[in-house]
Order: sequence, then C-alpha cells, then structure tokens
Amino acid sequence: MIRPMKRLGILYLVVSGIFLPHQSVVAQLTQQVNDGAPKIIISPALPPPHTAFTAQIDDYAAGGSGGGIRWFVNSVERREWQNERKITLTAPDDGQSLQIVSYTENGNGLINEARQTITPRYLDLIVEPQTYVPSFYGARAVPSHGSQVNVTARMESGGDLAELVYTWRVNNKILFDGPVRGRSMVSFVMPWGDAYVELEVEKIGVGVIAERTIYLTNSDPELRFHEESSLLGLSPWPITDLNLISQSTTITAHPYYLDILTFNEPDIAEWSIGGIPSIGSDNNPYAITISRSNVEGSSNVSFHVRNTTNVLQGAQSDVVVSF
Amino acid sequence: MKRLLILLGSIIILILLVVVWAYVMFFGTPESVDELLTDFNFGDGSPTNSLAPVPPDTGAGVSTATSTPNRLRQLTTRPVVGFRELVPAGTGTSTGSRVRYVEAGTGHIYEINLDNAIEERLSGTTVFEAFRADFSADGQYVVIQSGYGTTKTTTIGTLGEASEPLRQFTLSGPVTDFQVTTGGELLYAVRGQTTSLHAMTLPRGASRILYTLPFRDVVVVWGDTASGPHLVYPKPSYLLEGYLYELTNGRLKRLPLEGYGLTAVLAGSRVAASGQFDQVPYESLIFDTARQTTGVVPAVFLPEKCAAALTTDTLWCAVSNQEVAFGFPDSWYRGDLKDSDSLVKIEVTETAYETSYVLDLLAYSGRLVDAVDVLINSSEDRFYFKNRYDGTLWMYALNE
Repeated sequence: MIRPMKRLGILYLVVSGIFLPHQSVVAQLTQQVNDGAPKIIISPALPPPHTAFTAQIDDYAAGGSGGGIRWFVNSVERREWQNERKITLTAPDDGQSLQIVSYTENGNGLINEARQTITPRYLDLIVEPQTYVPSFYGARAVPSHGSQVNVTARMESGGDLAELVYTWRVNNKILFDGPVRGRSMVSFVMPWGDAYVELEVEKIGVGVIAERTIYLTNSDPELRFHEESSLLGLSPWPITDLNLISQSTTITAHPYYLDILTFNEPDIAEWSIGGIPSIGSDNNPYAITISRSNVEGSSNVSFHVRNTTNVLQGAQSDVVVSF
Repeated sequence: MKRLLILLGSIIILILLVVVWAYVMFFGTPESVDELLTDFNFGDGSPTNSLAPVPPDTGAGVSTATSTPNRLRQLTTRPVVGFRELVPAGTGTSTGSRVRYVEAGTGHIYEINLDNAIEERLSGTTVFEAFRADFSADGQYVVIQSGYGTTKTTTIGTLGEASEPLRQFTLSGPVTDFQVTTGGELLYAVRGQTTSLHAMTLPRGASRILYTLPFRDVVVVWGDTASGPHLVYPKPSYLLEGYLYELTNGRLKRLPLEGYGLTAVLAGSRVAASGQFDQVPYESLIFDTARQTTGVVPAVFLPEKCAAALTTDTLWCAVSNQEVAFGFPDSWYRGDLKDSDSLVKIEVTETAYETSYVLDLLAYSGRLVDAVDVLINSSEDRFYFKNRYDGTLWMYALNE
C-alpha cells in the first residue's frame, strides 16, 4: 500500500516541479504585460481652465519600440499629433471634461490603448489679511508679520462646497491635523518670512479634483498722516508737511497693514510735538488736534504705535507742520 | 537859467516816473533780469517756457490725435462728490443739458446749465462730511454718503422745490458702495462678515438681496439694471491675486481673468482689465465676453479711469503720464503718486485695438489732473470726470 502511494507522491512532485514554475512564469509575464500598459501622463496633473497642459505617453514599461501613436481628443483624431509622444493642449472651461485617448503600437504589432479624462476647475483662494487700512482706501490690505490672514476657497463647479474635503497646508505644515470636510475657509497667523498656502480639494468617491498653491509675502506697517476737517471730513491725501492756515486742525495717523488686533488695542500709541509727548484726541488715540500759537515757525508732529510683544507690529513717523 | 534847468529836470523826472508806472501797470514786476530784457526786446525776445505740450511716451502703437483746448472745460470750482447729466426728455441730444452735482462736505445740491453756464443751488440742506453721492436719471432722487467710520451714514433724499428742505431718510447697514440705475433703482453693497449686494426702488421701496458673496473686501462694478451683468472682484493689491466674476440674474460666474493687482470695468459686451497676468509686468487687456477672447492693449491704464462709448466701440481712458512702477496700483490708492493724466482713446476693431493719445490734461489746463469718477453721457458726446486732487468737476467734448 505504501509503495504505490509513495510512487504517486514522487510522480506528483516531479510533475509539479516541471509545470508549476512554468505557470508561475506565465503568470508573471501576464502580470508584467498588464502593469506595463502605456499610460498618459498629464502635466500639471490638474490644469486650471483655459491653461496649457501636456499629455505624454509613458510606454517604457511596455517596452515601447517607437511604434505608431495616434491621438484622439473627445473622439476626434488629431492627425497633426500622429506619432508624437508628447502633445500640448488647452484645458477647456470650468467643469467641462476633455477625454484624451492614445493608441500605441508595440513591437509585436499589438495596439495598446491609454485614456485620460481631465475636468479642469477654478479653485480661487481669496486672501483677506486682517490688517488695518483706512475705509477710503480702495486697495486690499496686505499681511504683516504676525497678523491674522483669512483665506476663502471658492470653486465654480465640483458640487456643494460643504460636501467637499479640504486639505490645507501652510509652509508644508498641514492644518487641522488632516483633511476636513466643508472647511472652505481658514485663518492663520502669518509666519516669519513668507508663506506658501496650499489647498487640495477632494470629492468623496472621486478623488482630488482641484489643487492650488499661493504665495504670501509680509509687508511692514507704514504710517500715513491725513488731515481731518469738521466739514469735509477725512482728506484722502496723505500729508508729509502741512501749512496750518486756519486756527486749528486735526491730524489723524493711519498705520497701514498694522495687525487689526494691535490697531484696536495698541500697547503704545503716542503723539509728540517737537519731541514733547502730547495727548491725542479723547475718543481716538490716532487723532490729535493742534492749534496755532502766537509765534510762527514749524514743528514735527510724530506718532508711534506698537505692540510690545511683537515689536514688528508697529510704525513710527512724523509730519512737519508750519504755522 | 538855473531855475529853468531845475524845471526841465523836474519835468524829465516826472516823465520817467510816468513811464515806469506804465511799465509796471502793463507788464508786471519782472522776476528776472532775462524777463526785464525780454520785455524791452533786447536780444532774443522769445520766452523760454513756450514749448508746445509734448505727448507723453505711452508706449508703442499709440498714435497722436489732435484736440482743441476749448473742448476741455472745468465745470465747478467747488469740490464735487457725485454728479449726473440731465438731458431734456425726447431730444436725444445734449442740447439743453444740465449737470446736477453734490458739493463735498456740505451735501448741498447745485445745477449747471451747460448752454449758458448759469449755476443755481437746488438744495441747501446740509449733509455734513458728504463724501459720495449719486442721482437718479431724472435727478429727482439723490443718495449721499457722509461721515467716517462708525458715523458713516447713507441718506436718500428727494428733491422738492428750491425753498424746501431735502426730504430724506437713512439707509441702514454699513453701505460700502452704491449706484443708481437709469431705471431708478438703488444698487448697493453692505459689508458684514461677508459682503452682500442689494437692490431697492427709490425712494423707499423694499430692499432685496441680489447675492451674498463669500468674501468681504470687494469691488463692485455695477451694471445698469439690478439683474446685471455686474463685475465683482476682490479689492486689488499688487501682492495678492485677484479673480474676476460676473454676476447676472443672481448667478456668479468666474471669468477667465486672474492676476495680481487686478482691476476691471465693464465696456459693453467687453471687459477692460489691468493687472499682472501670467507673470507679465502690469498690462491692460480687453476681454470679449461673447467670443471669450482676450487682447492686450498698447496703453496701460487703470480701468476705473475709463468709460466706454458703446455706439462707437471706443474706450476713453485717463492715463497717467508716468510709467507704471513697482507697487502699482496700491501706491495710487494710497495717494503716494502725484502725477497728471492724458486722455487716450482706444478704438476696438475686429482684430486690434487702435490707441490714440488725445490731449495732455496738464498741458491744456495748467493744472495737475488725476481723473476719477469718469463717465460718458447717454448721447456719448461728453466725457465727464472729477479731478482727484481738488474734487472739481470737468468735461471734455468728444465730438466737437
């Protein structure tokens, strides 16, 4: 009994030894061919609408032998790109898809197909630094060292913003410890130096649908003086020197780009006239009313505002008043 | 004999005194030796400051048109915060036109007859610290913004008889921008956590929200009706990217324009925009919304200093005589730039933009002029603007 079973076992081992490796090799070869199918590489991976991008055949793994290449864009063959490995296209409008198909002939005469579909989307990152600018100022505030910055993301298409997943990074450091659903707006404090703000937007079940990186640079607060009239109100023109014609006038100091928290509660907000500390207006530390005396001459009217914790949040300047 | 000599001497001295008096009376006090000699025609009598105004170098592709000084007129000596041209109904021309304006600071309302230049005051009701205003197309209603910071108010007034005070009521909310349409609707923006756009029928109709924007610091270029199209973009800065949107019938659509320091204005079916696009230095473009095409304009302008004449497909712009420097347009908004403008005409054709320099405002007026609040009237034969330096109102006749 044992001897026939033993012969059967040996026979099985011999047969397995001959055929199994072959099957394994075949399997490996098949797997290699599947993994080595040509691919279309899009660069940049998520082109914004109306921008140029490239589509390139990657058939290295398939053993590309310089065979024929045909390109189809939205089912229309582009003969001008025949046999080109890399082509340049323009992304369509926001939310419109563009299908790119390539047919590549390999050395064995087999035709391989590769497909890519891109759907460009506008991803706008609107930066609103929380620094002071006068209400008549028609431009936007810019960030300064240590100031708070609000960034709002807006997408034209892609679905409900509240259902999308946002991954925010500032200088490569991820915010909120990871991706957050519905977080289309962030606030952060400007770091030392400058800041790169990156956002990836992902749709559940689809993947990353848009990404954008913006660059923010710090500005130093700048002081401007404006004259204020009881009739005409605040003059929009800054003054560096003033001829006091009337009996008195009010000068206001405007520290452009000073962090709004420092502006609202400054540690230092001091006026001085001719080097002598003076008291500003009762209800506005940024205003001072000066009146002429019986003598003629000129004097420096200075103002200094500063946060003593973050000393870069501050500005100091003066205006010459002749009377 | 001696007496005769004394008499003769006295007469000569008297004659000399009369001559000197006549000289001072008719020629003024000479300021320099050259001027003294020039007045008496010693040597070359031509003054040294009589050079013809030289067109500024506005870049390649800009030709020079001719203009006469009489087409440029300063309409007011008072600073103006808002104005409107009123045309007699049914004429279709600007004959008999009047300009109604609000004086800065006082809020008083005046009207100028453009035919005979007679000015009369229509309202003496004082609105202290008035700094912005607009009128309805018939001039019956006026919207005036006054105050600063927490005291800022927006007042809607109805003009009655000259002797009557302005009937007014205050609009609630921190209004940051407004415009009155030709149809008598007030379009305005209210800033809270974000900015929302509203419309109401004057004088006291119900207010409705047109759209709530997802951001706060915006510039709105109002269209002529509540349904739009309006242009919306974040306030510009040369350090921050801006994006351009079009709001029509309550729907916000992104236009394919984005760049640093982006500003824009509506020009019929086109949009004129300026900024740093695609890492190119500051430039000006015109985007055709129908064809979705963009073209670069040879001249560089700030779009809010431009107005469109739609029937002739022409854009009239006040262009600075200085080249654009680093920090623009923030430096202009801060008031750091002190320069004068020239008037430039940009004709939009099928394939190109023909730019021609029309006149140097400083050379023809002798005054520094920074033109803002520009406007072309409904018959498209007058270009109005305010001088930012002193707030005075000016007019340039386009077709004379």
